[in-house]
Amino acid sequence: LNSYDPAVRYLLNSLSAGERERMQARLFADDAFAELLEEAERELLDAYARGELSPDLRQQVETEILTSERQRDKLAVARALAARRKQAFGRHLLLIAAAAVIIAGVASYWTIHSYAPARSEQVRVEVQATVKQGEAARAPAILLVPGALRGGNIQEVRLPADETYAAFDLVLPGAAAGEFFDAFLAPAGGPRVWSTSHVAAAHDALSITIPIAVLRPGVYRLTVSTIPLTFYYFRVR
Amino acid sequence: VGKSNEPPKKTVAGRQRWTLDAGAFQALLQRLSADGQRGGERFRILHTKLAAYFTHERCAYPERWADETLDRMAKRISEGQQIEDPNAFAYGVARMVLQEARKAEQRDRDVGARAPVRPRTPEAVMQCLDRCLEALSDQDRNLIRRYYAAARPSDRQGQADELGIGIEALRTRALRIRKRLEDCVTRCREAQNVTAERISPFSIEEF
Repeated sequence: LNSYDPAVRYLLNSLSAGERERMQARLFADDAFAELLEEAERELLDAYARGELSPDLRQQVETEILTSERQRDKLAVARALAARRKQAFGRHLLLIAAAAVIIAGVASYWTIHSYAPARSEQVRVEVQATVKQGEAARAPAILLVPGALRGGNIQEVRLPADETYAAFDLVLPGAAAGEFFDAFLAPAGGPRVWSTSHVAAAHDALSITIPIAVLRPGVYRLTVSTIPLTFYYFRVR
Repeated sequence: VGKSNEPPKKTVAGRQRWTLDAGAFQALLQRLSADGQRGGERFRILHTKLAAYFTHERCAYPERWADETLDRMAKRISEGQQIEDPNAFAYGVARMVLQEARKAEQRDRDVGARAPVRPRTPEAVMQCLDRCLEALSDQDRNLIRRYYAAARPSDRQGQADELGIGIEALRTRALRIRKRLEDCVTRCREAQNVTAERISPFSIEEF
């Protein structure tokens, strides 16, 4: 993306009034030029969706391009296409991540249950993970894997005592570092109880913190705004 | 033909709105192209340009103002005005409409008026996206997915070679599919009648 390109400068409202007027006259007179502007706009939105723009350019895109519902719909499509691209690259990583999680889960299960009677087949996965600086949660993060153990059990989580927030590390195959996502939490069969937006992902992972006050004992579904949506199911004890 | 689904305003700048009828619309299509078929296509292209113009001018409702501009063009034509260059004429009318659009949108903001709210939760948007992707033909879906999954230009060249078309033709095809996808998402979101806070319940059977 060339930010000196006149088309890009026009879209970002960086041209003089005279230059801008000439661009607009040409937009109407020349179909090919109109398509070129459309394409430049899509390139900007694609770069925005992939997190490739500088903070200044991001700001300009937000104030100059994302000005209507229609434009925000275009961004949604750009995000979807960016997500597909990441998913294509990340598909093989899914297998690796899934294998790693299964190993971690089995190891955790063995560690916990080898010293106590096996009470159930439920696997509790509590993996030590980095707690992000600046986040309210200080306890080890709870690792969640996408989907559910079909035909098996729902992952159980134990919330940290004496904490206001619980940290969750979500395995999110295909996510690129710096890509932004939203997340929503709802109990089984119930309305949404919590949400967060614009959370930056790490590579193939997303870290979030949820207020413990919204997590009562029961089954929950956590939804992340990938395309298609990614679901995480867990049970709070 | 490509008209916005947004509810039209009854008046602009306090005037009684002229209503576009079938005769005036046909006259407009005829003026855009003597060929009836091409007239529809020219109308669609002009509407897209107008919506782009109002978007570039940071209007909140570019489709509505594009409709308004075309309505005024049709009115002038039906009144017998001779138009040499429809594109240049549209630009001139659009500049006038822009002044009114800015005032009208400012007025809306001043009184805190809000457009009919379409649910804009990321979930709602993405449900639409999934539906719209599914609504594409397998061929189009595969084409656009693969086109935008390409990390390097050479990957796209390979795709073009497989389809037996040039890279420019592939780009044009991908762009057209993408536009259809964007239109579909907009229509889908307009049709959504769920509240912003509603989330589909799920049952344990889903596991």
